[in-house]
Amino acid sequence: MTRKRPPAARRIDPLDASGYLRDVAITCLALTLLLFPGAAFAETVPQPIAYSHKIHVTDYKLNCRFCHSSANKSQYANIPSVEKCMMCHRSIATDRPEVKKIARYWNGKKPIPWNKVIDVPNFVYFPHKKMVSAGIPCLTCHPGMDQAGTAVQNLEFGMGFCMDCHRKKKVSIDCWTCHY
Amino acid sequence: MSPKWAMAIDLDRCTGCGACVVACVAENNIPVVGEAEVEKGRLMQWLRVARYWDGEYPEAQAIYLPVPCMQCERAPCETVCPVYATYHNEDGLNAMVYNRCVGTRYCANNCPYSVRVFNWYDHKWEKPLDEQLSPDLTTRSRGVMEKCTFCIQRIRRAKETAAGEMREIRDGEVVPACVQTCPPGALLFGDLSDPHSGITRKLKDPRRFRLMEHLGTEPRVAYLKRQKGAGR
Amino acid sequence: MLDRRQFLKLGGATAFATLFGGCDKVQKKLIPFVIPPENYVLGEALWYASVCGQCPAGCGVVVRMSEGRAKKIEGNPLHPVNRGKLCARGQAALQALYHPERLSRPMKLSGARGSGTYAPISWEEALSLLMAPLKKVKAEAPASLLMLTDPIRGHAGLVAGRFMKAFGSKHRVAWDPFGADAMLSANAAVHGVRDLPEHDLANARYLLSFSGDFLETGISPVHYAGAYGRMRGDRETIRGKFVHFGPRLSMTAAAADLFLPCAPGTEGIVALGIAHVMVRDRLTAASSAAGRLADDLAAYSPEEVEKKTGVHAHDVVAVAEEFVRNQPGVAIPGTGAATGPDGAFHCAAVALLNVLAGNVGKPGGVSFPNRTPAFAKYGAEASLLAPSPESGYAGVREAIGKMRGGAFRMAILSGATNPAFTLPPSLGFGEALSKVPFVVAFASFLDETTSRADLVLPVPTALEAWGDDIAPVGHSGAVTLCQPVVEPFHDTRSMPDVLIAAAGELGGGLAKALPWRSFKDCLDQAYGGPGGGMETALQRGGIFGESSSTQSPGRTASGVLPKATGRPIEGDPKTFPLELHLFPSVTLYDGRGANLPWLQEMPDPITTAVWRNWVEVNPKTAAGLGLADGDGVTVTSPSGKITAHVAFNPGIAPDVAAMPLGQGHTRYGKTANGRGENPFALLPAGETYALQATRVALSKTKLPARLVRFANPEGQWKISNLM
Repeated sequence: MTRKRPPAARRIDPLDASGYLRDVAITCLALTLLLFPGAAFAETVPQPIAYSHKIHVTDYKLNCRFCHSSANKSQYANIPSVEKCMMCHRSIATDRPEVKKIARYWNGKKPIPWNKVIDVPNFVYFPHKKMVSAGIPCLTCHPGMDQAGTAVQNLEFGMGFCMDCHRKKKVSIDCWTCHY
Repeated sequence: MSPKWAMAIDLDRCTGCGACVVACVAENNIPVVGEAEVEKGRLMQWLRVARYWDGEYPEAQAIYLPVPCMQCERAPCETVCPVYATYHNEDGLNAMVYNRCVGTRYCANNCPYSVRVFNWYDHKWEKPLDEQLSPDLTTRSRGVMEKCTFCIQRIRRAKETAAGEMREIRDGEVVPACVQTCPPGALLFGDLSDPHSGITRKLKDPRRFRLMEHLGTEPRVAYLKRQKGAGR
Repeated sequence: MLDRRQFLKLGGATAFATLFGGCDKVQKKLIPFVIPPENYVLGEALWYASVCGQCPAGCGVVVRMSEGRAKKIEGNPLHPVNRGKLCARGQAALQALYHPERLSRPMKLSGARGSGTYAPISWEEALSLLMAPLKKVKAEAPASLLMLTDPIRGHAGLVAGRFMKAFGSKHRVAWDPFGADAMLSANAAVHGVRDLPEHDLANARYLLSFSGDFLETGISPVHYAGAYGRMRGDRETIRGKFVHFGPRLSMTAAAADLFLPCAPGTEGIVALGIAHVMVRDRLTAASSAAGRLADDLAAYSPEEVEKKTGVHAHDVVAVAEEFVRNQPGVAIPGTGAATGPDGAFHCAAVALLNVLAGNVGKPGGVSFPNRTPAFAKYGAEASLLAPSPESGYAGVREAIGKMRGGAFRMAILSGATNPAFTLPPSLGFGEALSKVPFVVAFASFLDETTSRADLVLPVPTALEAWGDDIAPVGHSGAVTLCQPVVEPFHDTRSMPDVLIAAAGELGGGLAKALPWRSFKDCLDQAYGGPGGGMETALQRGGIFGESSSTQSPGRTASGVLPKATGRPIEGDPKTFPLELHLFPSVTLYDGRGANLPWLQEMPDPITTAVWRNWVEVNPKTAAGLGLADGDGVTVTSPSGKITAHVAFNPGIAPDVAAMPLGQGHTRYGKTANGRGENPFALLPAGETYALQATRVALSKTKLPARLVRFANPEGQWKISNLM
């Protein structure tokens, strides 16, 4: 007989617009794509701006951390602020339609309502900074991001994926390392 | 060498004020259950300040005993969990993994200190009180056991900071919420594997005792008896 | 293009979605900043310093900020009052910030006056509703403006004081139910300084407390608890001994090495008994005070004291000898002694012990540091910034009389002390307030007082506002500063800001008296502003430079023994056999904490009761009255009648019934309402204010609710194992 697991414990996600930053919450069409907690797949998640990772990372050789600047400092890698986008796009490629969209957000002092692509379950504590300081390349967990347009997740984040690497690198596999 | 976290509670300093209880509630996203649920014995606080009476008027006296999870070295709760949701971790802590727990409550029944609390239902935080919830740890859902973790999120944070600065954790760098706030300074936390740490020195005091020592649970929380009289 | 595996997964997802529709359908959003704040790293917490406003102790706090929200409040380690520590009430201030019932918008009365029904309005409308009557009153009868607040400290007090003065009204009244009136007049009589002393517990070897509650709800509980801890355990070879006298085994009394219960209202007699032994046996160096007092003290022989107080004569002698032998020692009076009808006598008798022991101005004794050097530049106005910590009862009583007589055309209310709840109901505050044609309240919550206003203006909490504060004890010249550590959570404006704006609009002398653009501007000018060192002060949470100057006692001791007034407490002992001992709740203080769920659910240290109030009686007394633990009773005093549950306290004097204050709200939101009845209702409305002022009778009653207690789930252990 199998027993149903109780629902997962919930970690509060600081970027989840339902709980946080309500004051900047946006009215956006509710998309009905369901994301399994813990699993993501290579479906293209529609985004307000057709950003291209390939152009920025592969063609212009920008370091991932140029935009995802807190990846080595914090649990979260962070999504760049509109100000960060405008640092370059005030003068670069200003005539492109997608860049004009950024300018519109900037002029309206509105944040860009990106849709979440990569979602680890709330009961997982995943500190990006530990991965970065251990020298794990970003592409290990985000394969193909350098060739993608808007963000994709080509890899399933099961616990097995984490554990394989943790075992190989001989780092802690204590449950409390990630689950509390 | 992995640390041996331990707590010392000096009953000679404890005043029973309950600041530790509210600090724990604030730090660990512990829900408020309301009067009716407390009556059913479902208070969710991880730390209680037990009060014992002794004697009769005019010699009556009261003594306070703060009781967090004892983080037993030989924990009775661990041996009875059918799904290894509670186990001993590498720091010697009695870990509780919520996403493994299936809610048998065997552990709570086998805990001689009654420090484990069970989520009988999904707790709600009326908006906007949920803005206070700490992002450092989960909120627990229905059917899950929980208990004091020695503020594992603070231990993790200190470890990450120390690792980032390529050094060992300093004595006094990890401070659980209850220890941080204790107004008379009755609580002390630290690493027993460090022979020079404050807690190692504190626990050399002959007043040291542990709760229900005869059970052989080897608690990591040690108490210092109350003293009488002036001088030492 | 989908491969097979992904297709299957998607199929599974669809099936799942159909079965458990609605759980996670909405696309999760990632909302980055437009412009991120400086030093901001997502997911990393920042700490900001502020001040705690949950009681008048004025502790410094630091607030943990994560993603723009306050997550936790801890003590400010740099602050001299609390040194990084914080009590339960201070930590629960977070729930006041995020309280679901907090006022988020200005509101005007929409129902009958006093009904407490309001309609939200805009700030523009609110200010015009405020200004119209204010202008009219200013033009026609400026003296008919009343301002009733809690004691306001810092520059907010300066703003309020100047506003009233320039407006032309002297009716500025402050109310604090636990004001230190008795201690102030005792210190004026004995030490010649009308201020609260610094009791240096940390360096004392012997501590005598008389109905003291300094560890729980006294003048500065966190400060004294820290000092108490250091007295007990910070010195290598010395452990301070603590002896407590009082009618009730309180949380503070439980910490004592020796708790000697005395009859209620006899604390001063015990102190004079100790003084008698000190002088009689020449235990102290022969001081002029001892010589002058010898004759007067003759009446307080230990045997005489035993008769009056119930404390054994040999205990009085033993304590006196120990007190003298273990110097430095300090004697401290508490609320229980100070709030009786003879409070000033008790406090003066206790102060005398310090004088006789020669402890005044010494480490481990009492001293009177000059705490307000920072405000010296204001001259006579300095008392507006650092008001004397009095209850202000006489002023409130007078104001109520005038309200009833129709002397006031407008009233401005502010503060957390909630007079409609904390004044004896027979004073008729609520009914008198209804005689004032226009009442405006600055408040965060609707309570018994603010819900009687015509216009309610929401104010920011201490975590959302600019401000400064000066603590009553625990420092020698520290000023606490606070800044908005969180973005104001609601559309609020602070009272000083509104007053400054109003003064600007009224013009003339008012605009001159309050010449600032905003309250922030006022503080900037006072503390140097940006570039003038204010940033550092704000970062640290204040200016903690210690001044070395002290207030020199006018005389070290009066030659006269304090006299008991002998004022009887209300009620015939035959009809009302028990003396009522009211004390501030450890969790709810004067009742302001009653709407915070964390505090309601924190077990009381003595009874472990939660969510409700109770009446403590000795088990033997209860047996004589046929009462069992947990029974419902009606508590009747000559002035009022309430119900409560019996909770046994084995360490309470047999002729005393004790009740915590703070519960019994009727208009303070759903967390606070209906949790027992308000014990303030039992108090007489006399000329002077006293909490231990009446006798009561208990009679068994059936009550619908039960008193829930958090019993010890592991059972009772042998206490001898712990001591």
